[in-house]
Amino acid sequence: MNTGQESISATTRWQPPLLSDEKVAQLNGLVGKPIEEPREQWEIDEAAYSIGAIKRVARAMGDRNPLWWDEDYAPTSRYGRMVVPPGIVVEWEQLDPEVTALPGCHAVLNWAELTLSRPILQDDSLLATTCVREVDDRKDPSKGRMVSYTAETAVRNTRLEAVGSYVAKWTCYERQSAAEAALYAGREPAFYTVDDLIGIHQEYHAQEPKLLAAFERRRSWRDVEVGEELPYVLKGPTVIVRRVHRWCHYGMSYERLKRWYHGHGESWAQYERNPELFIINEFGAPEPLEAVDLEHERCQNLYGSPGAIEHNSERIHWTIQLLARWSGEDGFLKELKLDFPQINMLGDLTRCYGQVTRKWVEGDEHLIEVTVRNVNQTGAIVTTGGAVVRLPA
Amino acid sequence: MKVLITRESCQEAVNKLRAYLYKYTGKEERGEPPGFGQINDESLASLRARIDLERVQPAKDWEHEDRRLTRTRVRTAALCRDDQNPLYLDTAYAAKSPYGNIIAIPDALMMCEVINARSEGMPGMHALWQQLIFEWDHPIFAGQMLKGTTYLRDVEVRGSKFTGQRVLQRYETIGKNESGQVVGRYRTEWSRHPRRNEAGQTEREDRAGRPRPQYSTEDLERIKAAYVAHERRGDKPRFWEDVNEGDELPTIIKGPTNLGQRLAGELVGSGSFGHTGFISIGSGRDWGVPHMMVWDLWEKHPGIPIINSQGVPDHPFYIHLSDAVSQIYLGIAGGYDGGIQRIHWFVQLFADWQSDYAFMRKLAIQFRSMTILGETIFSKAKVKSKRIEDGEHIVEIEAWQEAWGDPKPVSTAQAEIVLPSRHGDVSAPVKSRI
Repeated sequence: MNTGQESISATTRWQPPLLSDEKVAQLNGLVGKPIEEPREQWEIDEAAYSIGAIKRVARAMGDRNPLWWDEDYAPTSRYGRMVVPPGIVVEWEQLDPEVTALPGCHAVLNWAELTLSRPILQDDSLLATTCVREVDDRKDPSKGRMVSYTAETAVRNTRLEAVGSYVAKWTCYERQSAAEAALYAGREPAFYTVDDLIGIHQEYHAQEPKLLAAFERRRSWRDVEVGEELPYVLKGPTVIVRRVHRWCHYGMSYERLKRWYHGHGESWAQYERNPELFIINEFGAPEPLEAVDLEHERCQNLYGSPGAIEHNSERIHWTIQLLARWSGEDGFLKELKLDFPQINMLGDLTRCYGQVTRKWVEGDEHLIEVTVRNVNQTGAIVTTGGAVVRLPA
Repeated sequence: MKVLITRESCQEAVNKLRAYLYKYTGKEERGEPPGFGQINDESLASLRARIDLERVQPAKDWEHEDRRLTRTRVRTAALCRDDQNPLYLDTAYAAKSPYGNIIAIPDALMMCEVINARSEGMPGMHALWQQLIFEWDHPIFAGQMLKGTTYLRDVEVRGSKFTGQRVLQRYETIGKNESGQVVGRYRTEWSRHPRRNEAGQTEREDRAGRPRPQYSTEDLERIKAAYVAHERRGDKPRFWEDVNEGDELPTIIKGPTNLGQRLAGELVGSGSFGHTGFISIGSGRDWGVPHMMVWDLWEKHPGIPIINSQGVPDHPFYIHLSDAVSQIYLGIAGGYDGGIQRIHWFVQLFADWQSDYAFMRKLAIQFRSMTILGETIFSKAKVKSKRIEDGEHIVEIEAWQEAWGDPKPVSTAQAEIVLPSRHGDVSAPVKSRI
């Protein structure tokens, strides 16, 4: 391991890491250069989406779409095998904004564009390349520095067929800055009474049959009316154990895996390489920033923030769940564009809505535009956007 | 911000939610079985009727395939337990070793256990994992798929200073590889007792006052230095003739533990929930369901959810992650460990000392106490005895683990290791088992 020369005492007093000129210059240096984590062939082979791997992805997203949840149904579908939830493309971004792009920052996904060209099927393994397109550096002495960048990720299968691309705009904040504090905009963690929970449980049972019926309808383009509302999807209240389901190592390169925090001995080398990825915790010991964001109480005590923020990217998966349940086995999601005007906090309940706003024919494709929005338990719109879905004529 | 922070307010919410779920699912009409949460003749008879019944995993082919010990999975399991032994990670290194190929962490044998007291018998009673014993006949290689058969072997009622009575449940699992070869046996022992005694105290309330660590810069330097100083014997054989009774093994240090590490070590590294150590999907162990899907789990088992400070129902596993929830529900100082990593740290302690040329054939571990988030754990050992048996050169090791600032062992262990002899084939302990 790297023993390092730096004394721990030099860094035991945690200071919020800054977005230094050096870090921003390094990010600028990545513009236009394709990034692909190196992987050995056996790693690529073992990362193929088996039935178990597909179900783990579906489970992590809380999505029981029969194409990616029901291993008995999926082989009888038009695909003849299980399908990987298309939102998986998002998980293949090769640059981690808080670790490899601008280490130690608090990165928030502002908007995302997903373009899908073919389904990802059982036993497919994926390859991905990410390219930083542009960097916008804003310095405001009263708010702290903010750096935004867009990253485009092209994902292909091992037959080298493009399956989709994902363009993400990230804004990176200095932790504990006024700009970061503004993200909360008066928000505080939600609280639920048992009566609230009973209401959520009953809403789940009212909504689930509608989602199943929508999937089973085998909808065609001519059946769809402009103005039609999709059965909505209910997500949350979120808990931290759930977040772990997303942290599966499948498909990760060894290089990337080694950057993961596993604690104990290896963590000292990580800490010495990059102390700004760590906070000094309540025991006086280093711990990754990510682990603070797991509990409201820790965020409050260690950052002085109102609580733990969820990752916006999850709402991409939830919105796909909404669209795929409605469009069913015969539908194909072509495009999805989402804006995230507000954060979600740990414990939030999110309802994902969609409405058909346009239908048209382009070449031999019969297309539907769905306008989507996510609303949290306070009634605030946290996501807006639109999707293009292809249906059979 | 409104939060639930007292045992009473959380328990009231839990009780109200459970009552609703019992009513919703119709379980209320059937009611809890007589003596729920207590030791009685009926619950004992029900459990004893299952003694020696053969239990196999009711899994589909893809589920068995999903449990295959791929290289990716072996690597994740090793790294998440902080073990960089190249026998688990490095193809070229493993090829030159007596194994000739990448092996799985030996404790992967525990994934073969089909059932244990966490989910069997004595409804409503706490299940405390007391002891486990591994006996390995053969190494487990990366790429293998293991299947197990588990038997409840014994049910014993014993006295308890805390709750008057407790019940011990003992299980034996036989693990086989795909060619039907028995790779080893795995036994576990569990203590079942009421969650609270007549005074309303929990078993673990005596841990309430355990001081939490506070590390100085010097402490951290010392911990780091111990990591740096640790050496793996690796490809340098340790011969039986060079070992003496009383020899001390190099101590292994782990920690300071923290929430991030616990998630990595016990959830990501162990796969999904359950203690099998590897991802299991489908079957009764599939607790890893989020969002609305979790209501199906709550309906199936209304007694499972606890309520967190936001009023949200969560898996009991959350107790391992949250100081606040541990304090509220169990009256202990903070989130306590699930034991998975401690098991492996004993395995690592011996493997790093014995070299690649030795074979650990038996390991028994007793959990004496829990470790709490923030603590640093020391695994220590010394050679108890040495002997020659059936031509094999064996050493017996006594080991124990201590938590930061408290010399009282949190776990103890005994191992039997077959070492090479200077007068025989150096690879024999391993090669004779492949």
